This record gives sequence, structure tokens and C-alpha cells, in this order.
Amino acid sequence: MKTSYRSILRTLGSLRLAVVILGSLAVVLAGATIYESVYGTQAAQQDIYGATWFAALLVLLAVNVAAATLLRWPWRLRHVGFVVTHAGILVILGGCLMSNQLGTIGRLVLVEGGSDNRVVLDDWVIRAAADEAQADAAEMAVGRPPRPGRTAAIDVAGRSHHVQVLRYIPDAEVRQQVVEGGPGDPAGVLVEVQAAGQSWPQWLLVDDPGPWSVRMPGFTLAAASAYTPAESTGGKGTIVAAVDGRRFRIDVAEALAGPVAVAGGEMTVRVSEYFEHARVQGRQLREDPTAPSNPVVVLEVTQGDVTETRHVFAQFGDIRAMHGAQTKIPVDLTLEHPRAATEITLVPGPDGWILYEQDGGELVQQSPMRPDEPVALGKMPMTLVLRQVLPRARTTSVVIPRQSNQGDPQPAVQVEVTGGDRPERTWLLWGRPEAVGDGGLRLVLQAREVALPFEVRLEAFEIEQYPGTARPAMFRSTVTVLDPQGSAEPVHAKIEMNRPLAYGGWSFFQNSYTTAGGRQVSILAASKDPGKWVVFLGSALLVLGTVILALQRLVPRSGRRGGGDRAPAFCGSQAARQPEAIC
Amino acid sequence: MHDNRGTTHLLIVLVLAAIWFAGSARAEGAASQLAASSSAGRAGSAGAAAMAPAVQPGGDAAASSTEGPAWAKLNVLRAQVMPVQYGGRIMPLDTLARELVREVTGKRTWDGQSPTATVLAWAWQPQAWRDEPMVLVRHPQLQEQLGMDPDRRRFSYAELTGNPRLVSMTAEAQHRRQANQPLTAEQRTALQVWERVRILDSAFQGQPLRIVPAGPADQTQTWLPVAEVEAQTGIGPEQQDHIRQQWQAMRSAFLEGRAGPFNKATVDLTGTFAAVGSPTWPAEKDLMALETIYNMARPFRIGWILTCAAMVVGLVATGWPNKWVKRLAWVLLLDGFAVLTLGIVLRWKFAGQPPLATMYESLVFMGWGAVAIGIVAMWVFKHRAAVAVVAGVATAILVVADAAPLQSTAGPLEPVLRNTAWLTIHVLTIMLGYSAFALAMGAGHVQAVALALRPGPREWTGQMGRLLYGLILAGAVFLTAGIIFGAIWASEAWSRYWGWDPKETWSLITLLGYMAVLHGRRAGWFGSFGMAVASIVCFQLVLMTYYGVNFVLGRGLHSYGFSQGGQLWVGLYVLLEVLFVLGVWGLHTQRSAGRGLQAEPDAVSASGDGREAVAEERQAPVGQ
Repeated sequence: MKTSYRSILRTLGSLRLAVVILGSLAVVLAGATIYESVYGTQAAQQDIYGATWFAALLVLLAVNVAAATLLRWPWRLRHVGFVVTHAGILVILGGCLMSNQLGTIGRLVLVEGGSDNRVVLDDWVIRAAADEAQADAAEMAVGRPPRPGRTAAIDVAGRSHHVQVLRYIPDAEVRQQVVEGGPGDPAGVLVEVQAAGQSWPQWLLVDDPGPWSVRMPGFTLAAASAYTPAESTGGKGTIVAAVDGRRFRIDVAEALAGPVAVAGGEMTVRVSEYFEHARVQGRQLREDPTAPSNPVVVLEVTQGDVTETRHVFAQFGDIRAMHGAQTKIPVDLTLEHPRAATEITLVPGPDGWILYEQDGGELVQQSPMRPDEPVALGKMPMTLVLRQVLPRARTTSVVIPRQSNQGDPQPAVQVEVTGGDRPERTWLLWGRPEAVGDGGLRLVLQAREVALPFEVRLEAFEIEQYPGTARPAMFRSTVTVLDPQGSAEPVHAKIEMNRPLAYGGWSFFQNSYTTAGGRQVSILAASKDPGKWVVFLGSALLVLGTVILALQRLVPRSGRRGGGDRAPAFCGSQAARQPEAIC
Repeated sequence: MHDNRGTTHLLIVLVLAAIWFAGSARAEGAASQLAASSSAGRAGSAGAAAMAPAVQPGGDAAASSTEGPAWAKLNVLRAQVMPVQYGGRIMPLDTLARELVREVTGKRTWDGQSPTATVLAWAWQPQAWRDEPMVLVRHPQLQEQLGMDPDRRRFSYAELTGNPRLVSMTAEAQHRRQANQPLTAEQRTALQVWERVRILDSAFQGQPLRIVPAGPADQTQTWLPVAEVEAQTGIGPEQQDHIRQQWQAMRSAFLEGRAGPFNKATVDLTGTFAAVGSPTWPAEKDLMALETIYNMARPFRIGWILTCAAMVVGLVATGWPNKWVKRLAWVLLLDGFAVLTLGIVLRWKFAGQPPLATMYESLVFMGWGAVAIGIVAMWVFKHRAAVAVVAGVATAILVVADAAPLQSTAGPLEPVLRNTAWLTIHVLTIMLGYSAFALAMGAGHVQAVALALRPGPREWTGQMGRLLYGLILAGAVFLTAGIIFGAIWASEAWSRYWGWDPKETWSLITLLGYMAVLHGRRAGWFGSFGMAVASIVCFQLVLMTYYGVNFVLGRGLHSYGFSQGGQLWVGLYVLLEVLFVLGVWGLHTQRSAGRGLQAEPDAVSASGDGREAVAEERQAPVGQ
């Protein structure tokens, strides 16, 4: 019995197993760094360094080291180096386990002048609460990056819910989409707009004022239940002159006849030229009746001795002033014209959709639209193609990977919540609470947070620079710790690189900084790690042990069996071939 | 204060001795003048005016030279030691000038002139330089694309700024870089060339010569070039006029090549600046001289020349065991070590920070460590070939440091590296570990070849095996300690002692690799030949940790060391090592079979039946 126990120990503590473990650990770690450079730090932390099998590999290493040490029992003087070294490794591994189980590490984000006690940890959770006040909250760890398939039961307000992560998008955006609707929903049409060598799809919903129509200055494209002809107004429009915030209205017809005094005679305005379908040819404006409606007035504005010519477009405004040209007379000019716009209206009928093109108050064309047949506009250099028709259309929002990469990434997870009347799927965007079920549950995707038993206030954050450069020399946060339970006196401290602050079992380190709303924001790393000291103890043992071990291996030991006339039993030498060589 | 000056002066004398040893006559003459002037400075008060008497003997003789411009023969030492602010540090003009000349021309000096003279001439006579072909391009494809002669390496300022294709190509490359789009090799080179043109352009305007110190009340302590002296509000208008006049006097004396007036004006101007009372003005004047001497002497080059000589003599000693040859090799190696030590101390002294922050500095330190550990190892394990191995490895490391295009000027430290002794402790220990492993790698080559050519046990290879083993053990101890020191530092600076940062992970992989070998050796899996090969293979892990993480992976928290370049050379080295290992392995197997030996004839564990050292060791006491 004792023999078999010993043989097991011998197998577990064998050198060959040690070599295999050391080798495979090295290979795994090398793979992990490559994995990290491909999939990112968080993925490597979660999928490799934080994985159970990786922990198992380390446990195997610990077992091997422990068994090898026990095998040498009873220990003698020549075992000192070996035992101290290997005990050091065991203590380090034990300390790591303690850090892992008992330690907390996160970030404390402080705005200059503000205080906080929330330490934001690295891992992500879905936080569930019954109401907006977040009372009775429960948390579910989702991992970082969130792993699809992870499930948890969340009990909130006496009801149990089952939450499963379905999908994860590292950087998501919400897009509105048109889908088939039900009774009461308006009709919708998808047209392809082709202009200037490009084309893009555009959904139009009947009588929609919002995103499902195109409304630009001088041009609209929309679907409507009926075509309403523009009121046939005559007139040449009105010039609006704004001087020092006061607005004056000038009839174009009147100003065409002669100068009109504005602002109590401060300046005069005269229309020298008037166009309804202006077109720029070369650098000249021409009237072209075949062109789309484009009313323009050319004005002569006089103030004192100064006279200035200004071109004011009904659709585009005072063109030169808007493009930053210097104007001598301080007056803002706009032209209001009844026939400024080109309006394209698509109207559903019993025999299909009809396109009405109206320009300058007149109906230019009225054409039926058939699927995939292009309809060219009469006045605009644009073609419309009918692509899809929905008799009943409604809009819905979808969450998709963000197309443009601007701003901070916005993670999102899709979850399925069971526990209500029926399973419900919903997307959770980072930091945005989402009501699920019959409103009894609010879920939010966020980082895990830990509350400190005291508050830290950031008095000032400064970046010291190397003289004469913008190169940072030091980052420094001046903080005050406000502890209601501890000492009555607030603790003042300066935290800089390599100068952390230790307080109440926690340590705070200068980590990074940013600005928000014009104020400096200092980001401190906050950690609480009782395992640290165990690891340092183990480290001291390890260093001491390796030094002793190396000396024992290198320094010749006289008086040992076979020492005699032979060269010292150095390892790797011929002399070391004797079985008792300790190397 | 007095003690400090004493050590500085001692350093100067030591460097002079080293320079004398290396026989660099030109530098010697210059440096002895400097030492004299530094003594004069010490005797005098704070102002540099006391230096003036020492400079008269130069006289106006140089002005009468007929070859080249009048200033070509001028000795500009007084200007070389002028303090100037650059990159957040106060350095002698000499250092800045070397940086500028190297940046623009890719050469250490232009036309054999002192870089300081070149840079002063750029600022004072820019029109004379516009057509001088000195801006490095050296990219035939790019030159062809730009319609320039593909056979030339350098082009003039006028040629480059007058090339519309270069201008548009640079604009496009900048645009692409801002949009984070990939650049072609030509576009990258075009950007580099344009940067050189930009540097030259600012040098033409005297912009980098920020020699006017800020007043004592100035918070930012931004020094300015003389052209902007009126913006230096801490200096009174009269003094400003004085500065402009002295600068003008320096300029005309320089352009006329008159040494006396030039030196006088330079010393006057330096004195005026010292009187401004800037808190960033060098507290110890000798430091500027020290750095200038360091620049001129290039102690690390002297170091590798000496170790290289030691290697050659050591090789002779390996084949011809003559007592005097052996001693000569030793002396050369010890001299090399002394010069390297001096260089490191010097650099530490004038930069005011441990020279362990950049790739260049750590490489130099690794070379120094190789000699240091090598000397100890040779003393413990006597071996005929040891001097050659140690000197060879050290030379290789130092030559790489000298030849690789690495930032060799001391610059300011990143905030995370400041305020801590751990930088010194951690990097020093780690680099000593790398040094030991590099030596083991070098010894491994010799041992592998020796055993491949003649397998089987021998006194020669047995001793070499012990040396190899000792080096690997030493490396493992240093690396273990270095990793642990790094962990303690990380817990002080980054809030955790271990975070699987790529650099951390790779240092652990390296340690695990050597540990696997050391344990495998005891298990009887590696014999003498196996250890030799393992020391070469495992050194590739060191290379990955040291170079690969920073230059290939480029990820993680050790980002202050990240850079690019050298992949081709390092890849070539790794390839050669692979071929070497395969070659000796094949040879060893073949020769062993031919001699009827086992492939691993001299393994530690003779039994080889699965019983391991532990079991064997258990029996040992019984027999005692």
C-alpha cells in the first residue's frame, strides 16, 4: 500500500512530468500572446488566462512541484536550495489563488472637483432591477467579451427570470428599418434614387414627416396619400433683411422698380436682376426656363458711400456671404419665394403608384411607376426606380455592427428573457436600461462596480511637462479621502506614477486621464489584494532558493562519495555521470 | 557640490586616458583642451568668462586657409559645450548638432566637419547650403518615381523642395497616414525625406538652436533661439540687445574663420546666458563638457573595438596555448570592460538618469553584462576558448547597438519610468540574465561544433559543458530575480504584480524554456550536445522577449519600448541559427553513428531507464 502511494507520488513528482508541464505551459503562453495580438487583450484574458483549463494546468504544476518536494523528505542540508526554490513556487501559486479569489482591481474615475466611491471593474454584467430607482437589483456576469450562450437566473421583486445571452456586437448602432406592418399602418415604397453617377435606396412612407421622406432646401421627395397642387401664387417673393437683429421685409417687385429704404433709412436695397430659373453658366447667372426652379435676386445694397452687390438665392441664401466672403455692409439677406422648391410626390393609387413632379408651382409631369422601370425627372438630373411596395409598412429598430467607426465603441448584447408570459428577445446597448416583459424588469449592460467604504475627491489633476516641450513628465492627482467611519480628519494625498496612495486596504494608482465637459478627469486604478504579500513572500523564497540552488550546483562539494581524486561533480561533465550527481 | 565636481573631473581624466588608449589623436587634442578649459572653469567663478584665456593660442591662423569656406578649419569646441534645450533636456550644442546632422544626412559628420560647425553654418549661411546634396533619400524606386537620378543617394534642399511630385506624394502620404490607411514603401520614404527637409529647413532658420534660457520666473522654462530673444520676457531689453550683438559677433567671426573673436564671443554669450539665472541652466557646467567628450570619444565603440581585438587574440590563444597570448587577450578584454563601464557611468552622470530606458541603452548594458559575467565565468571555469567566446558575444552585441538605427541620444524618461529605483534594479537584473544567456548561446555554438566534429567525452568539451551549464544557471537566477523585481514594480506602478502583459508572459516563457532544459537535463534528455543546442534554441526565446514583443507583437503595457525595423536582420539571424542547429545535429548524429556511440553518449543519467535523479539521489545517503 505504501509502495503504491509512493509510486503515485513519484509519478506526480517526476522530472519528466515537470518537463512536459513546463514545455506545454511555454507553448500555451506563446500561443496566448499570438491570440491576444489577433483577438485583443480582453479575449485572451477571458479565453486563456482566465479559463478553467489554464488554471488546471497551473494546479498540475503545483502538484508536480509539491510532489517533487515531498519525495525528498526527510530533507537534508543539500536539499535546502531545492526545497526553498520549490516552496517559493508553491507559495507564489497560492498567493495568486488568493489574489484571484479575494482581490479586486478596477478603476476609479474622478472629475476635478468631484468625488466618487464607485470602483469600476473590468468584467461586465447585466444588472436587473424592478424599477427605475434600481432598488432590489440583481446582477448576472456576462463575461468580457460577453459569451453567447451564457445563462443565469435573476430574481427581482419576487419573480424569477431566466436570462440567456444570444449575441454580442462589440460596437453596435441602432438603425431604423421598414418592415411589413399591420392594419392602420401607412403604405410604403422603396425607391432607388440615381443622381450624379451614384444611387442609394430610400424608403418613403405615406404622409411621413420624419426620416421616411427627403426634405431639403428647394427639394422634397415624399410619399403622400393624395397630390395637392401648389397654390398658384403670383408675385416675385420677398427679401428679408436682418440688421442688428431687426428684420425688414422688402417686396421684390417694388425693389425692382427702384431703391427701397431699410432700417429707418440706414441703407437702401435695389434689385438689379431677378431670375426664376437661374442657372450658373461660366461665372454668369442666366435665366433658363428648362432648368429647375431656382429664384435669385441680385441686389445693390447701399449704406452711406458704400455700395455692394449681393446674390441671394431662395434655396441657398446669400451665396457669397455664406461661403465666408467679406461683406462690407452688415446685413443678412434671405429671399422668400413662393415657387422656390421642386417637389416630388409619390401617391399610391388603385393601379399602382403615381409620381408627381412639381416645380416652381407648376406640375411638370405625372407618371405611373412600375417596378424596376426608371422614371427620369423632368427638371432635376435625377432618376427614380421603384424597387419595393408595402401596402402596410411600419418601422422597427434593429441593432447592427456600426458602419462608421467614430467615437467610443458601443457594445451591445442580445438576450432572451424567460419568466414572463412568453420568452422575449431584446438588445441591450451599453449603459442604456431596457424594459423587458410587462415592464416589471429593467435590464442594463454595464461594468461591474464595487462601492468603496469611503469617498475620494479629486482636488486637482495636473500634467507636468518636460521644459520646452509638450512631452509629459509626470501625471499627478491631488486627492482627499473622505471617510465617514474612519478618522474624522480627511486625508490629503498626491498620487503620481510610481507613487500610489494606500488607504483602508485599498491602493490607488495614477492610471490615465481624459477630459469631459471641459473638466479634467483623472482615472485611478484601485486595487485591494491580500494575496499580494503572499506572492512577495513566495518571490523572496524563490529568489533565495535559486541563488542557493545555483551555488550548490556550481560549487564543488568535497568529501562526498567519489569526490576524491576526481574533478568536482559538475553537471554536464564526464564526472557527473555517477548516479549520485546532484545536478 | 565639491565632491560632485570632483567625480566629474575624475571622469574626464578617465575618458582622456581611454581615448589615449584608443589612439584617437583628433579627439584627444580636442578633449585635452576641454579638460583644460573645464579646470579653468572650476577655478573661476560661475561665469564662463574664465575660459577665455585658455583659448587664445588657437589664434587667427585658421582663417588664412584657402581650401573650403573660411570656417572649415575653425575649432568650435566653445560652441560645442554651449547648453541648448532640446527634447525636454538641456544638452550641449554638440549633442543636438550630431542628432541634426545624422537625421538629415544619415552620416555622423558632413564633409568631415564637426557637426556643431555644420549646424552653425546652416543657420548662419543657409543660402550656401541650398544646393548642397546632403539630404539622404537612398530609395532608387522612389527617386525614379519622382524623376530624380536613381543612382544618387543624397539630394539638395533646393532639388527636393522644388520637386512638385515629392510635394504631392508627401501630401498624399500624410493624408493616408491620418486616415490610418496603409502606406507604400515609397510613400513612407517620401515622408521620411520630407521630415529631413523640414528639419533642415528649421535648421536654416536657426530654430533648433534654443540657447536663450528662460528667466527664473518662467513657469514653462522654454528656451528660445536668439532670433526670438524678445519673447524671452525674463531677460531685460538691454541684455537682449547684448545677446543679439554677441550672437552677431559669433556669426561674423565664424564666417570669417577667426578663432579668437569666435571663442571670445561664444564664451561671452555663454556667460550672459548663465547670468540669466534660469533654474534649468546646468548646475554643473562640467556636465556639458562631459557629454561632449562622450560624444567625441564614443566609448562604446572603443569598447567593442577592444573586445573585438580580445576576441581575435583569444582565438589565437584557443589554438596556440601561449601564456603571453592568453594574457594579452585577458588584458584587452579587461580594458574593454573598463571603457564600457566608464561609458555607462559617464552617460548615467550627464543624463542624470540610469542608462537603461531605451533599446540602445539596454543593448549596451547587455554587452557590458556579457563581459562582466564572462569574466566571472572564466575565473570560475577555466577554459581555453572562453576569452574568445566572451569577447565574441560582447562584440556582437555592442556592434549591433552601434550599427542599428536606434535612438542613441539620451532623452527624457516616460512618466512611468520616473521616481523609482525599480527601473534600475529590474532592467539591470533582466539584462544581466540576457547577457548570461547570450554567453551560453555563444558557448553553445562552439560546443555544438566541437561535439559534432568529434562526438564523445573529452576534457575540452567537458569543461565547456560546465561553463555552459554555469552560464545557463546564472541566467536563470538573474531572469527569475528580474521577473520578480518587475512584478514588484508593476504592483507599485500598474496596480497589479502580474497581468499577463505580453512582455511579462514572454519573459515567463523564456524562463520556462530554460527551466524545461535544466529539468530535462536532469531527466537525462539532454547530454552535452543537447545542452549546446538547447542554449542556442532557448536564446531565440530571449530574442522574442527582448526584441519580438516590442518590434513584432507591438502590444501591451511596455509600450515605451515599441518601435519598428530590423525584422529582416533578426529574421535572418533566426534562420541562420535554424540552419546551424540542423547542420550540427545532422553531423553529430552521423559522426556518433560512425564511431558506434549513442546519439547522446554523455548524458547525465547513465541509466536512462526512466529512473530519475530523484530516485538516484534517494540512494545517495545510503552509500555515504
